[in-house]
Parts: sequence; C-alpha cells; structure tokens
Amino acid sequence: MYFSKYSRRTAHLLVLAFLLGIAVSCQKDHLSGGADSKRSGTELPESAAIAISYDVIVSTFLIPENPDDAELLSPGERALASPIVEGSRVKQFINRDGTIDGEIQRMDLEGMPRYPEPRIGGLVMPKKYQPQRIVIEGGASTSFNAEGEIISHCFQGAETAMYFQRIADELSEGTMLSGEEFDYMIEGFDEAGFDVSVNSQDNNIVELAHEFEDARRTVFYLDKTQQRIRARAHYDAEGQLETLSEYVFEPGEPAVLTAHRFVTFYDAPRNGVRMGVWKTAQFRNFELEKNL
Amino acid sequence: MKNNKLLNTFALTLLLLPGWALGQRNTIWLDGVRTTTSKGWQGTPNSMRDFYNYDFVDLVSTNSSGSQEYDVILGVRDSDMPTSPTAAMQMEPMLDNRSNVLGIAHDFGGLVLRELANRDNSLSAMILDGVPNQGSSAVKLATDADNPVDKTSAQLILENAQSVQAMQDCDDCNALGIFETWINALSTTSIDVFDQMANESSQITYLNDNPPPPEIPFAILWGSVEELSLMSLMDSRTSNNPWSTPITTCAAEAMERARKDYETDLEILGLISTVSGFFGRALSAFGEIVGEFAGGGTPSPGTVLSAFGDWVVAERSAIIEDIEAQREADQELARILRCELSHQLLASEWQFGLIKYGTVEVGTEEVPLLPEASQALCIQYCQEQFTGFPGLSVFGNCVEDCMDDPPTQTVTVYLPEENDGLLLKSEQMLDGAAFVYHLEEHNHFQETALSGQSSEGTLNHALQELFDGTAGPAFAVPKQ
Repeated sequence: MYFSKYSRRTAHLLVLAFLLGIAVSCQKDHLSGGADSKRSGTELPESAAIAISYDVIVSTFLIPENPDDAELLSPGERALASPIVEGSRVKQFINRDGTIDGEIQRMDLEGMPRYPEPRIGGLVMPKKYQPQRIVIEGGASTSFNAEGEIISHCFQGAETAMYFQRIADELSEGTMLSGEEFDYMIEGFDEAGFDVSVNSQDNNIVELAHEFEDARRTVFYLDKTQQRIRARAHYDAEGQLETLSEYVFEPGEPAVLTAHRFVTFYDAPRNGVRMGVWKTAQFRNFELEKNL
Repeated sequence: MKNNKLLNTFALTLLLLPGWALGQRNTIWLDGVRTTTSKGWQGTPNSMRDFYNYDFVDLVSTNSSGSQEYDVILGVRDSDMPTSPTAAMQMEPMLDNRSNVLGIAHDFGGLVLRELANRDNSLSAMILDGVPNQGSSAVKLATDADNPVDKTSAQLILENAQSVQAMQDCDDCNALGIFETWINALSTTSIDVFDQMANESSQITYLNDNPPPPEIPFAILWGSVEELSLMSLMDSRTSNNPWSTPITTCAAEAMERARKDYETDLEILGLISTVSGFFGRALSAFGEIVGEFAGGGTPSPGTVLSAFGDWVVAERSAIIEDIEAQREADQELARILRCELSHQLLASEWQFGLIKYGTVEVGTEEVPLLPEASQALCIQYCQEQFTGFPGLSVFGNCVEDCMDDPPTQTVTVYLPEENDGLLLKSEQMLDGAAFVYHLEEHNHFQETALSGQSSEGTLNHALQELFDGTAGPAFAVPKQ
C-alpha cells in the first residue's frame, strides 16, 4: 500500500498561536485611565478557544553580511552589533469570535545580557516611551510605561480578528502525511512546474521555488519530517537575497516553535558594505490550553 | 546691646549681600545662536522675577521674542584682527559702566560673556549654562566638510541612516526630516561663527589661554541626558516649551503601532504560512485525495499524483497569490525593522561624532547565542558552524558541546561621556569655577527653561541656589 489513511493533526499546529501578540491597528488616543487585565494565569474562560503563555526574548542587531567587512564599519555601525534585547512574558486568550485578551509584561529573563548603561546603540526611545506592560482586553490593547502611564491605545482590526478566527479553526484541523506521501506531494509540485530540489546540506529539507515574471524569486524550505515551512527566502530580480525568515521547531509531538529569525539587507552608502538587519525571537516555557 | 545686635546683623547682611543690598541687581541674560543651537532664555528671567520674587533688571531684555543683542557672526574675537568688532563689543553700551552686573549666558552667549568680562569691569560674576567652554565637537560635526560644496559630517551620518530606510516611507512622524532641517540649517549658518565654537579653535584657545580663565567668580551649570534621544532633542528645539514632546510621543505611538503590526499581523501571516497557506492547503488536499482513493482500495501513485497535479494546476493562481502575499509581508517586516534601525544608527553615529574629542569607555559583554541548551537549537547552531558536511563525529561533538555549554558571543559595549546631546560634560567645564551644578536630564535646549518643579538637578533649583547666595555672595540676587 503506497498511501495510508491521512491523519488529523491537532496539537502540533498549536504552535501557530505563539506569535499572537497584540492584534491591532493602533490609533492615537489619549485615555485618562488605564486598563488592567482581569485574568491571571492561563485558566481558560468559557469564551476562549485557547489560552497560551510563554516567554520570548527578542534581539535586534546589525552586522555585515560578510564578517570580513567588519573592519570597514563606522563606530556607530559597530555599536549596533551588540543586540538590543527585550524579554517578555506573554499570557493570551484567543476567543471564539477571533478577539484576544491578555497581557504582555516586559521583563528581564534568564540568559539575557545585562549591558552597562547608558550605552551607545541602545533603544532609541527614552524609558518613558518604552512599553513595560501591554494589556489586551475588549478588542483593544493599551501600552503602559514603567510608571503605569499610557503610551498608546490600539484597537484590534477586523482583518486581524479574521486571522485569529482562522487560527482557531485551523487548530482543530490539519493533515500529517506519511513520509512517502509527502515525497509524492512534492513530486506533484515538481510535475506541476514548480522548481523543486533537495537541499544540498540537509536532505531532510526540500526547496520549492517560484520565479515571478519580473525575475524575482521566492524559495520555500520545506521540512520533510515536520511537514512545515522552515524558512522562506525572497530574492530580487538581480538574484540578491532581500529577506530571509526562518522558524526553528523543537522536534516532537507536538512540535514546539522555539525560535524565529528574520534578516533584511541594505547597502551602506559610505563604505559600500552590505549590512544585515537581524531580528530573532526565542521562545520558551510555552504552555497551552485549548477548548476547541 | 539690642542696638549692637542690629548693627551686627546689618553688617553681616552687607557682607553677604555686597553692592546691591539696597536695590535690585542688574543682570544680562545672553543666549546662543538662536535659530540653530539655542532655544533662548524666553520666559525664564520673568519667571525668576515674578514667580520666585527675585529683584533684578534684565539689561538686555532677551525676554522679548526674537531679540538678539549681539551679532553672532562677529564672534568672540578674531585673533588675526584683534581690533575688529566683536559680539562682546556690541554688548558694552548696554552695561553702560554699571557695576556689579551678574551675567547669565547659555551656549555661544557664554563665550561672548567671557570676552565681555575680559573687556569690561561692569560684570562682577557669571553663570555659564551649557556653554562650550572648551569648544564643541557637535559644531565640527555639523559644519565640517572637506569642501564648502561637500556634505558635512552630520549630513553624511544622516544620509547613512536614511539609506537604512531604503527610501521607503517610515512612519516616524518625520523625525528624521526634522533632524535633517536642523542639520541643514547648521550647515548653512555662517561657518565663521561655528569655526569659533569648534574644538581647538583659535577663539576658544584665546579665551582659555590668553588671557587665562575669568578672574571674576563664575558658576558652571552643565546639562546631560542619561539616554540620548535625538527625537527628544528635536522636540526641545522646535517646541515653544522645550519640555514638551510632540515628536517623541507621535513617533513612540507610531513605532509601537508598527511593532504591534510586526509582532502580530505580519508574523502571524508568516507563521500561518509555515503550516497553513498554500502549503497547508496542499497537505490537506493531498490527504483528501489519498482518503478518497483509499475508500476504493489501494490507490496507485500515478492516480494520486495525477489528481494532485490537477489540484495544483487549479490552485496555481491562488498559490502564487499566497507566495506574493508572504513576500509583501516579509518586505513590510523589513520596512519596520529598517525604520527602527535607522533611528538607532543615527543616534549611535551622532554620539560617536560628539565624543570625537571626548571619552568613551569600552567594555565587553557575553551575549548568549542560544537561550538555553536545546537539542534543536544546538543542531541548527552546529549546522551553521560548518560549510558542507562536516562528518558525523565532528557534528556530533559540536552538538554535545553546545548542549553542555551553550555558546556565547562577545560583543563590544560603548559607554559615552556624559553629554546634553550637543555638548560633552568636558566641553562645558572650565577650571576655577566657584560653583558647578549638574542639570540632570536636561538636553541642550532645555538648559535655559525652568521645569515644572524646583527639585535638585533642575535649572529652577540651580538659579535659586545661586541667587540665594548659597554659592557665594557674588551670585546673589535680592528678593523683592
């Protein structure tokens, strides 16, 4: 038998919920009071489909694409090689209607570097304008600084609510093929005209590429074992890498998203060095409760 | 006995309050290069008189909007042409041979005041507030160019930051544009004036060495901000109230909004695409095809492939649209990241420009490459360490080592000398001061403005200390 009855997958799709930060299209607003989260922990209320909590460490930094170019950098560029690191503890509820409630608390997490301050190349905004806590409730999110003052107030957009609803729907659905079936599916893409090849360094990764009419090209890196897109790279018409987005999953059932890395590039005019702007997010202590 | 006590008190009062005990004190308040680097004293003299009840006359009347009693272009003194007119000479008629005049000056005005003290005996004390007593690196940054037609260092720094944005719209409330306007204004202001204020200029050398620093008592008020924000600096420069923060508030909201978009909509879209999107749909479609055929017995690969091929062809447009949508989402992530980074780069380059003649401490910090020992992360880390296939044992050892001791990276940390966004602490200092006061969390444009409170570290507190005679009778101003 070449093909088995396909299986429903549920739990491992739950990693989708990781990056549900705050759903929003903000508007400038001036509130007199502060909202507060009425919930603590991740106990699941009746209206919620999913409760999630996790810690995330986000780093942003600037480094040359070619490490040998480091000597050509200006001191200002060099200072930005020290990552700006922010830690957050996130608790969220995705409700059945696509809205979310929750709280994001910025905090120092274990493993984060502790720079002497004030250093060159740190955060641009003064502390007063850096959100320390973000409360999401009733379709709106409110950011507070360390003194509890409101920095911004944002409303959840209909489009974003749709995303969440889609996620809530998709969390109960999903297909996991056998290894053999997966290979045949990839072959189907190949025969349908997509450019498919096995990655030269890792034969568990299949590259599926599409070239647009204007010669731009996008490559997806598909993990055969985990059956998910591990990375996608976009190239411009000259074949130069524009952006790369990569997801790292801890193998297992369910597979758990542990990191996300994103890089974009620009050419520095003064020294001609191609610089990479990196953002990485690393997740841990993920807990999820569902009511689907 | 009682009369003796009264006489002693009167004598002590005269001793402590020489010269002006019986009347208001004459003062002059000078600001700097008003349209570019100095906010001007504006309402401060009036507030010190009307709110704090000090009794003085402002001989220069800098309160009136736009008044500038000296011509900055004349400079402090041209050492090549000592007899040529100077800004200080313009001030002399206003002193009109009065005595015991207290001079209070900010920025370039402080240099004028110092030259005035060299030329005229009317001044008996000076308060130098945010004055480039040792010259200014910022001025060099803003005006230095190899040729007059070339861009200045500051303009090149700005150009570098703008290039990070890659000419795309950046929702930062035009913060870079406002900075650009200022930088361009500085570059087109008389180069002579700024040449005089720059580090190691002949005018600064003249003031500090020949003659030596002032003989009359002087106080130094120096400002600094712990975290330099160019947006806050521009807020203070462009707003009537230098403590207001319209640009910073607007940009903070915009950046927070963008960040939320980044961390939610865009990343969600990207993450959905990893397991859903066209790929997720393809998995489901393939599974359903297999399911359908499985009902009628064992399907052949050719049958399933053919059916799946039909699905891909039918969905081709939707698949390509999905890929394009993901591409656009990633480009939007890139735009937001670049926007944030452009401001970080500008602030970083500006700080290094300021400390060209100052000090910067360098330290190192260990940054964890992995948050914890995780097999998946270590496998990925080791994959990145080798080009090509390293061999199982080498790779295995790498993963094992990584699990035992997660790798770290050493980064360099730069700690700048304290500064007010334009002037370093060392540039504001002058040896021999009778009183040195730190204006805490005051950027250069806030150094002439009273804040809402009189707590320690504010200009309000500094002037009260001086006017009350705490720093010596030379600075004292009577109460009304």
